[in-house]
Parts: sequence; C-alpha cells; structure tokens
Amino acid sequence: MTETLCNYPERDELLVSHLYDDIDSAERSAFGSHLSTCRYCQEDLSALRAVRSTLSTWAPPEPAFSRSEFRAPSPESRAWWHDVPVWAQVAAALFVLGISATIANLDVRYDRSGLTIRTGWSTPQSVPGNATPWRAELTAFETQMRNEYDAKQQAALAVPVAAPKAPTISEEELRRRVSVLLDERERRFQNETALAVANVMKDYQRQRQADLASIQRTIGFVQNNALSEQLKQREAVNYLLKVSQTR
Amino acid sequence: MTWSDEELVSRSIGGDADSFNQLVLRWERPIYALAYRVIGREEDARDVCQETFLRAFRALGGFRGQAKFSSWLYRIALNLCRDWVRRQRRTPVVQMPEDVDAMELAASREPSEPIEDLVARRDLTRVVEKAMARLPVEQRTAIILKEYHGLTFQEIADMVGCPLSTVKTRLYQGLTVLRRELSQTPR
Repeated sequence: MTETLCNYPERDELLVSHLYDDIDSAERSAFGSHLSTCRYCQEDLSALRAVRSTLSTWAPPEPAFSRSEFRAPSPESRAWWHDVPVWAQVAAALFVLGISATIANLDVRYDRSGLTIRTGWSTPQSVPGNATPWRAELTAFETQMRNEYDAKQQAALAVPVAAPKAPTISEEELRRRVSVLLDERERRFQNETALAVANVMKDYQRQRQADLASIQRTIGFVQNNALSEQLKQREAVNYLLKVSQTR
Repeated sequence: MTWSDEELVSRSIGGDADSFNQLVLRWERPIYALAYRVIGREEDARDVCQETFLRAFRALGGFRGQAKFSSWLYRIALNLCRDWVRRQRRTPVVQMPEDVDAMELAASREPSEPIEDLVARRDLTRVVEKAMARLPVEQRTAIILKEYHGLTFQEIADMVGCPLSTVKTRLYQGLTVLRRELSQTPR
C-alpha cells in the first residue's frame, strides 16, 4: 500500500471523485493540476485504476429466474363481488329469492294435515268425498299398462324375427380390400422402421459429438494442468538457482 | 413503445399488472446482481430479489416519484440485504468450491474462449469475490453501487443515508483495502 505523503485538503475524497470522474469542473481542474505534480497521488490513482480494472471481471452467476417466480397479484384476479359490501350482497340474495318464489308461485301452508308446500300455477282440483281419489285412478292406469304390455309381447312372439341382411361383397372385391389393407400396413411399417433408424442414427451422432467435445475439454484441461505444473517447476528451479547463487 | 419506469409505475398503480411485470423484467437482473454482490449467496440473492419486487409492488401506491424508481428499488433491496446480513450475524462468505470442476467449467465457457483464459478468469473472479467479502458491508455496498451500478456519489449518499463525504471516504478506504488484498493474493 502506498503511504499517503500528500497533504492536499480532502485528498482521498478528491482522488476517488477523480477516479470515477464524478467531480465538478472547478475541483477537477484544481486537483488535476495537483496530480500533475504529486507523485504519490499519481501512483495511488494508477493503483486504484488497476483495482477497478480487476473489479470489472467480477460478474455474478447467471440467475435462474423462472417466470413463475414473481407474479404481481393482478386486480382482475379478485372476483368483482369482493368489492360489493356484505349488506348489499345479502339484500341481493333476498331479492333474488323473493323473485324466484313469486315466479314459482310458492304456496306454503301449515294446518291440521301438516306442512304443505306447493309450487306451480295450476289450481288444485277439489275432489268431493273420497279422501284418496288418486288411488283408484292409479290402479286403473296400472291395469291398462299391463294389458298393453302383454298384448305387445304376444304380437312380437307371433312375428318371426328376420335376420339382418348382410351386405353382399364379391370375392374379387374382398381380395382387393384385403390387398389394400396389407399394402397400407406394409407402408406404415416401412415408415416406422425408417423413422426408428433415423432416430438411432441421430442419437448416435449426438452422443458421438458429445463424447468428442468431452474428450477435447478433458485434453484441454490436462494440458492446462501440465502447463501450470511446468510453470511451477520452472519457478522452483529459478528460485533454487537464485538461492544457490546468493550463497 | 417503450415506457419509462415512471410511466410504468403510474400504469401499475392504475391497475395494469402487465406494466409492473415489465418493470420486474427490466430490473430483476440489476437487483439480483446487487444482492448477490452484497450478500454473496446465489439463492439468498434470488430471494432478496423476489422480496424486493413484492415489497415494491405492495408499496407502489406510496411511491411519489421524488426519487428515481430504480433508486427506490435499490433502497428496498439494500434494506433487505442489510436485514439478511444482520440475521446471519456473520461476514458474508461467497460460496465458491475449492476445487473447480473442470468439466463444468469447460461446459460454461464461451465457444471461442480458450480453456486457459477461462480458468484464469474464474480464478480472478474468485480472488475478487473473496477480497470483497472481507470488506465491511458499508464499504462493500458503496463500491458495488458505484462500480457496478454506476450511481453518483450523491445518489449513493441519499440511498444509504449518510453524508456525501462519507461515501467517498468509504469508497477510497474500500478500494485501498482491495488493492492490498489483491496484490497479496497469489493468482
């Protein structure tokens, strides 16, 4: 380290300002004229420039940023109804419920026969006397359905089922179709085989190139190591020679 | 059309998420580089970088544009780095393996670069990283902001909250220490 033997006022600050050229013109001019005469400042400045030059070689490793790393939460990602107050949401829900009930003509009754909920616009038909008028109708309907089903079953048994008529194809046509199918299959097989062979060739070439590159790199590294060893040995020999000469 | 940082900020405040993503794309590398050089660990630097943008996004409404957006972002990143250093309670150590894997090294080289040059460059980088790691964090920060991010002395002073003369002194002292370290380290 150079000893600071210069007493120029605020010398270190001015030197660093000059080094980075972040200095106003008056100071630059004044310090510039000092620099031209001060050997210590010249040496210091030169050494710090060398440090800057060395620092410029330092680059951080390449960051592996993935695009998923930062996601600015977008305003659109919030559902619009989050912005509506809760009381307004409740009011809207009640309103929709009321409208639905009106459309469906909801009729809720609670009397001696229990709770009755009815929807729809048709008015209930009054049935005099019988408490369960639908039971007789249902039985009659069931009987009718059974009779109709039995009648259809018997009719179906009486008519013989005709076998579906197979389309007639001549033997010549059949041969032709089989031949076409076989040709297609063979062509497909040939294509697939060619593709597989091409893939194998490509993989082989790629592997070969990778191996060659790897060998080349290794040779380079070995050469570099050898060179470095050689330099060290040469330095050691020089040192020994120097020591032997001094004694 | 290329928007300025300030225009992108105002569009982001207006709810345009894409504008903020553009700011991230524009500034993530400088912020990562700053964090890496200050704290010296790749993964932590990435975390700091991500956290910087998250904080910036949350505080975007408070950005009034008195300073440049980049200065504001650097300040957030530096505060996070400072927190990290405090949390670790140790001098940041740049992670660098003792033995460099030759194959890995060779794989990462430029096609035209001879392997000897690559080894020399890596060695030099290691030397610089080690020397920088030995500096006090204030000096290191001042050097990083000036040397690698090209900030003015005044901008650095505003960012770290100290007088202009202190910034210059820190830089001078830091560079002088580096000069000594680099001259002593065998390359």
